[in-house]
Amino acid sequence: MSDETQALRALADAPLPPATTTVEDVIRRGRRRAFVHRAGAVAAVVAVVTGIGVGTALLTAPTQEVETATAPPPETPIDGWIWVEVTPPCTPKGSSGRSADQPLPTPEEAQTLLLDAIDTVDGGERAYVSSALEKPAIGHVKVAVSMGEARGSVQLRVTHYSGTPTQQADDDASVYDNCAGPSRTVLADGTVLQLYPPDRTDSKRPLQHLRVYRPGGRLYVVTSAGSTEFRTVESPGGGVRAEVGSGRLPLTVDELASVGRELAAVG
Amino acid sequence: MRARDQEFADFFSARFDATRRVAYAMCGSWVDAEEITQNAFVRVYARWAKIRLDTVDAYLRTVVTRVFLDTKRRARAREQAFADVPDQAVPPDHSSHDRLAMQAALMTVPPGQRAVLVLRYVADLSIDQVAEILGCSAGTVKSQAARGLATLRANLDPATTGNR
Repeated sequence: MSDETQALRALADAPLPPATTTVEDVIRRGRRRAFVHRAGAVAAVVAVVTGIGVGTALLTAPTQEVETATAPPPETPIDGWIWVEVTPPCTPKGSSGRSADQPLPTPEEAQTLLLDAIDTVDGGERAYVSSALEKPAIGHVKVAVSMGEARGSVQLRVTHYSGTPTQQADDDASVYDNCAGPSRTVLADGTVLQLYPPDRTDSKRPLQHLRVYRPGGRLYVVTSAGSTEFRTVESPGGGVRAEVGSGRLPLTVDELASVGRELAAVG
Repeated sequence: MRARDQEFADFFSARFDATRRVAYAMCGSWVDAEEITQNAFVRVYARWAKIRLDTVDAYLRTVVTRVFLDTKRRARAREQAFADVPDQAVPPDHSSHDRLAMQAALMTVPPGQRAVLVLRYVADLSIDQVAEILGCSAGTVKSQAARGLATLRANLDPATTGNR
């Protein structure tokens, strides 16, 4: 063993000055230290639990957004038709307009066109002409026929548009200020039939619209209009009786679509 | 006093002075040595319920060494050379001059190596025990001890060991 290590060992025998530390001081400080450690451990657990909770909430929120974004589109009222998504604020683009070099049918022709189409659908049992023809307006012709028991009417407006049928149908997707979006089908000849959800903008009568975009630029707008109005009608046996509109639409969605197909077939 | 506290008080009475000597050998100041020793016992008390009695001495030495090294790291900027005059009155004896000279030389050794020398020779621990306290290998303890002794030898007054 070297002299240095022996000298080092001699330090263990060094005389001690009196100590000022008491065991009571040490115990008091030790208790405080233990308390701080326990409080720190509890705070750490609380922080971890809070962190997990916040993290879970943050991770869950995007998942819900994804689920919303990937949610299937609403079912269309007619099998085989597709739903057309409408982006808010759901205002019409209004790009349709008459092509000057294409003739419009006369009011009489339009009325016949509509009656024939409805007769084909329901066998000629309900539709009839009850009022005089409206005067043709510039750019379109509009006619209406009454529907017996439903106390409603079906209106036809014929006009023209520019562009392709699909392009114009897209532009008109929110033409009735309805964010629900229409449903659509494309026929073999390129005609686009676009059916809109029930239109509640008129408080006196329910409405539903179908638009038929012919490849040649002709547009048929068919409106099925219910009625809640009070009126008097002649009874078949003589006399007059009062009737109140049922408030129902005169055509079902299938019948309205069939009317549109008939109009598309005519030209 | 509770039984647990009484048990700790007995341990404190039996170990406090010896631990203070080891701390003094490491830091070279009785005031600092008492503070290091007190802090070490406070930490031991805080964990007293979890410490096995057969390992409490080893735990106390580990804590003392760590408190010393932590104190040296924090106060390195204000570290002073060993005081020429002891900061507390120490009973004189015939070998006090040699011990002071050895302590002065020990303070020239870097803290890490100094801790190895104190644990190995002042506390009289084995190389493996020192390695366990410092959390290093036995080889590291040996090399640190050799370097520390070389530094000590280079700065030691020849009269202290009598053979130089």
